[in-house]
Amino acid sequence: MGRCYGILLHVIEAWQAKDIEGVLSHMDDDIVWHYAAAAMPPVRGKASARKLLTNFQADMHAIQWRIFAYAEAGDRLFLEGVDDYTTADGKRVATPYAGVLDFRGDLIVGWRDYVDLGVAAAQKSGVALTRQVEMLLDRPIAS
Amino acid sequence: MKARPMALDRRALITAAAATGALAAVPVLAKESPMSRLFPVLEAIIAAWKKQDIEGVLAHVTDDIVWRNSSGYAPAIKGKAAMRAALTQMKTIIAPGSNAWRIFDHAESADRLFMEGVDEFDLTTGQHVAIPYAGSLQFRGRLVSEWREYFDGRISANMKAGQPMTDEVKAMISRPVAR
Repeated sequence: MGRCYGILLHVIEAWQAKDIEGVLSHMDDDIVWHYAAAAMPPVRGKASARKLLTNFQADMHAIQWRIFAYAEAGDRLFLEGVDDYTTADGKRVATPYAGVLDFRGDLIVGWRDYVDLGVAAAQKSGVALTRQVEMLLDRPIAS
Repeated sequence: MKARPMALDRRALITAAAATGALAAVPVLAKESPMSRLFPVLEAIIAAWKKQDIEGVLAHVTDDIVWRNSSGYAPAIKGKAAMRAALTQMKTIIAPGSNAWRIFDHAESADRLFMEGVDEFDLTTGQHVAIPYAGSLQFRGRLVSEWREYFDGRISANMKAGQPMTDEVKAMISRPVAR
């Protein structure tokens, strides 16, 4: 297992336990977090990241965030995965994505997730997962 | 190379303004793997597509290529013949010589190449399109057997409709090209 990927697994474990401070403990104070790269402005700094995580947490339940594949190059981690959860009103949201994490030491300083928010919006409105989304999710979890 | 996205109103989801310089705090951008085995294949594909050389692109994919170029909102393109048809259609709408597809960084693991880049080009109808994306290429030998790209389809839809490049997109694509 790669060094950076091991750190991400700790982040995932903390997020699934709804442990916001646990997630933040792996972020650099100067983190620039593109949670929807190019579609939304980034969140800058740990304090802003805490606010975003708090907002996310209110509508994310039964979190099944998982990673299908990854590769590392120096201090950078590339990955493919899915944000899979149930909203507060019972809708399943599962958005396939690719992410790139930049590390400074053991802390994440840059985080760019490429995702189609249109897919998430449709699912939040009650549209069932499409066949093409299901095919992207039908993959073994990276070890 | 991206599929034609469905038309949705991106502006409805944008709640904040400029992000110019968004990546300035990231110190490791544009580092590159010193031992790239697969990246040269992608470079050859990019070179071919910039010349709108469809057969030059297809020379680097398997006959049973699966091309998932929509982050999940459109079905996969399966097989070289279907990919040829898709590229032919794309070629008709992209202005020759305008393609500035480029990769900012990449990494390899066994038979998979990950990349972060931008598809940037002009349409023959004049609109300028830039789609930041990340993705992965699965290889079988030296050929790409599966290609997956992730991005927000509304970015390209809006730009194809004539909307200007957003500050978020400008920030993402203003980065050094990987070598």
